[in-house]
Amino acid sequence: MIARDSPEPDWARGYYRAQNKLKIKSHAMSETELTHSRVIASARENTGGHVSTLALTTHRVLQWLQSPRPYLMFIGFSLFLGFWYLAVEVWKLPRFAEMPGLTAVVSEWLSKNPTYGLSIFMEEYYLHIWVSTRRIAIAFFLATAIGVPLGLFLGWSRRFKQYVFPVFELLRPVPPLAWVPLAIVMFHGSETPVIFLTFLASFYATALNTMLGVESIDVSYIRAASCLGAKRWQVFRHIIVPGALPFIFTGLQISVGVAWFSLVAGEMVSGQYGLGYVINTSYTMVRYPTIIIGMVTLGIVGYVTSAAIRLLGDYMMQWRTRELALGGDR
Amino acid sequence: MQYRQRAESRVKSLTFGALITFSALATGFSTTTAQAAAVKEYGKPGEPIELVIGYQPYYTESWSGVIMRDKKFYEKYLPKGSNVSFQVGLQGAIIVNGMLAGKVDVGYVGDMPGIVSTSHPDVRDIRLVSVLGLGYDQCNVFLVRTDAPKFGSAEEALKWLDGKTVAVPKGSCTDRFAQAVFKAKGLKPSEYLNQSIEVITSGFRAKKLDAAVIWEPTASRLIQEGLARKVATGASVNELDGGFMVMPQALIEQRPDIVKGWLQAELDAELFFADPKNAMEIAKMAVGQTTGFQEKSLWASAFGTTPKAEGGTDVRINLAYGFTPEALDLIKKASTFLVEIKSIPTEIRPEAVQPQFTADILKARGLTAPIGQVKAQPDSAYAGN
Amino acid sequence: MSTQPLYTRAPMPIAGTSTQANREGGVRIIDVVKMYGTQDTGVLAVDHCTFDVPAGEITVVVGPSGCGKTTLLNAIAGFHSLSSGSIYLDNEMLCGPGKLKAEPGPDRIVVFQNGALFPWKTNIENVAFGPIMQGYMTRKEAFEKARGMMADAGLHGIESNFPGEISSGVRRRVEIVRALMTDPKILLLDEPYRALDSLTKSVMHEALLEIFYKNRVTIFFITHDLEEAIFLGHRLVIMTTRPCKPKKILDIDIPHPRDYSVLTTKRFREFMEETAAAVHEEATKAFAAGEKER
Repeated sequence: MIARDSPEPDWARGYYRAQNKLKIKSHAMSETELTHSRVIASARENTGGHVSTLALTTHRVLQWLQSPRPYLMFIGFSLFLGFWYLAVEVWKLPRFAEMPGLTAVVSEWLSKNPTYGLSIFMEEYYLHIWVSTRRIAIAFFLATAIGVPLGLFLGWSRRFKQYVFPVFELLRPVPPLAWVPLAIVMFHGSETPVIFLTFLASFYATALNTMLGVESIDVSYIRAASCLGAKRWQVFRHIIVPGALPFIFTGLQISVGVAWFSLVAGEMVSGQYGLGYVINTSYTMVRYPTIIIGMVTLGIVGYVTSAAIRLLGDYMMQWRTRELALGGDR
Repeated sequence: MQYRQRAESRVKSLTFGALITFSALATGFSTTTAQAAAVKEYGKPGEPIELVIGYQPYYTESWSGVIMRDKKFYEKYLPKGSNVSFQVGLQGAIIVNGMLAGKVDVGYVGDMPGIVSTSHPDVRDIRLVSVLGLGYDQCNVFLVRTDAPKFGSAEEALKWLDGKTVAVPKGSCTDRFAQAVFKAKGLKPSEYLNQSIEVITSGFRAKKLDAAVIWEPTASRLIQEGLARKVATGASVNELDGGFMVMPQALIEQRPDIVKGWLQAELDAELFFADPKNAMEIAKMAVGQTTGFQEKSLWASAFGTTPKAEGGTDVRINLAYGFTPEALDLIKKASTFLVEIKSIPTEIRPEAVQPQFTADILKARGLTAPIGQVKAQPDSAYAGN
Repeated sequence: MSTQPLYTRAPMPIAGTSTQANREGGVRIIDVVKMYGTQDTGVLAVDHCTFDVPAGEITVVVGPSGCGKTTLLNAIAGFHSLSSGSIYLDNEMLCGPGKLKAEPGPDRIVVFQNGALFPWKTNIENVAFGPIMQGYMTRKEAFEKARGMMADAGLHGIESNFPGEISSGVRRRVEIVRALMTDPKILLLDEPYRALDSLTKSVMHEALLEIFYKNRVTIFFITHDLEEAIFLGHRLVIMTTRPCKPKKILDIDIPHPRDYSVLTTKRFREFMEETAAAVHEEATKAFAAGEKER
């Protein structure tokens, strides 16, 4: 029974509201856990199964907006930007004085006719964002498509791990920058080397986390499945893969972040479009405000992609989201 | 709802707390920071000085710097006890960024980075004080892949570039040259890539690039290694390139004695460069200060001969030293072009060009600008292996 | 190995001869030894253990933590191998000389200590898992049967929940229903109620007995709680500390069906007296030896 005194998780509050909206004949909170669970289940059945998941998400977003969290975020940013402004333009602190100031960057970024050619009104800006995002998407997709199965096998089969893992671990510390010359020579065209360089770190993060995910699965689950008559491949499909999903999604979030890192190195090779290219070129062209604009844009787009993955993970692992929302009641 | 009330009060207390912290930080900072943006202090005239020289052994037009480092001509003219350290820059832009950050005091750079360096007076006021050299094929070298068709003339070669993949290190003298030529000839490459020298080298090796515009000595090296062919230069389109020495205004104002001293040494270095007998010695110096280059390539970058059809010239470098009308013309044209392509916000400030130091020194020594020329020598003149 | 009779009732007939041993689900553990590691440096977990688990009855094994009773259970289930000895299920050798490790299978299902309901499947998917995996039922059929069995066990209404959303007591009951779906010969319960509070436990006991009365499946139950053992079991096996070996075997003749009123009967108290001393003695030995739960 959910104690009324303990802080209610956001999820639960939103869900109760959803229930009322759907006009379920809800029982008064009775004593046994069983009844409570039945209430949730009947709500779900009445709305036809998984529709409530979307309602859940909507309500969580609304709940977030009504909580103090967005305002705290706002305060955090204001403090940061305020410090930047004061340090560079008002107080002119020793190490900050020569940096591009907040006003310089913002006025360039929002200007209809920017001095150095890049602002939110320029079509080129969105082209750079699009090109980078597309590269990240392809690299990330490849990293996931190759990394997840590889990680699953590394965790599942000891023999496979003995063959493959040493080579894997040997190559892992090599940074993308070191691969640049080989990438140019090995791959056809100029887009493929960039994607390869972006793919590398992403792939390692995904594969490693997946492997750890498999290894972290409680052996009782595997034993229970064997008892129930599952054959080895069935255990793989029904136990290993879903059981490793939380780790896999952690890995994916890391992987997309690392992909953005590597993109800047990778786009040194491409040389024409992309946020990494903007940052690299602005350095040699001595366009300081544009460097900052590139960095900020990269940060924002990277944050959005990371959040998208997190949301996807939450959606795919409903069982975990609900479990955590209920405070991990055991 | 009880939660809402709790939340609101929480936000209030947090905002209050943030404001307190912020004010504390503000007062703290304002008491500790006395000075504003640090303008570098160079000491009083006559005192020994510490100088950081940003130079480019990988840029032949500015090899007076290489000679300077080896021959140490400056020791004669700087106060005793002065300390001079040389930093290699792989690209002019790197040296310019270093100067803007106050970490480099004298820069040997190409025309585009030189002009760009003067365009950020709010960060640091930098001025052009001398012309290292002018040329038609030092920066302005068009290279194509080895399996490109044989061209009858430079004109034909340039036309071929239309719709091809061309790479340059952006922000350099080659960038300006390439874009100027494309505009003048109405050419449009399918891809205009910003790649560093190493990436361009790999690109030629992997046969991914159609063409690149690269400065000497890398151009000669790529040719020597059979990775690319020279097809046109500035001579083919009558477009000059130039190298300049830049210094911060703070140094000029505070220590004119140092500026004069260094420029005296620069004159010695350029005179040394102009003497054809020194060619092998200079090539050896360059080998000592670079890696990955063969002596022959380095020699060829300054003293080698190229067929006229490929854009070869007799005078490889025109050592102007002072601001000749040609140099001033180049600066003006380049500056206008850079404004057009939005590399700099406005035309170069008139005070950014400081000809008086070199003018005075030339007069005192009874010389006129240009003080000499680096002439092309036949291949037989190369005395190495 | 002692030659004294250990049980208060006539010994089981030898394999292959009489009726009682042939009823479904009976397990005979004969002279089982389990050693982890090598002869010199290893740990002896089970030391020449011999006893019977009669078919159709609840046999409870009581012993201090770490004594090796889980090892026995794992050997029956097929997760561990034996060092020597043999185990028979209904006169067929599960493991023994020449085949030291049994195959895990749906005739011997384990209910684990910390619960092993798959958290990423709903309750009904969990319960229907066995028949679907073995392929002798379609998904629809399995779900039908599962729904029926859950309703029988009083678990109606939580089919579409995930295990993380229900309390641990309810989870345990669902797990037992899942185990029963495949008509196992014997149910192996490894301290299933250890992590529950005592209030929930009492409900669980009655629920387990209810299930037993309906299905008459053989149950092999491990616990360290003496009261639970006496309440549930037909037969009680008290183990020594590691290496384990039956110290005392009792038949609990309190009549079935039992409910919690049984706890206060005189007969129950007598059993407690009879066994408490033995259990306590072993527990003290284990404590002194500093046992950690394996």
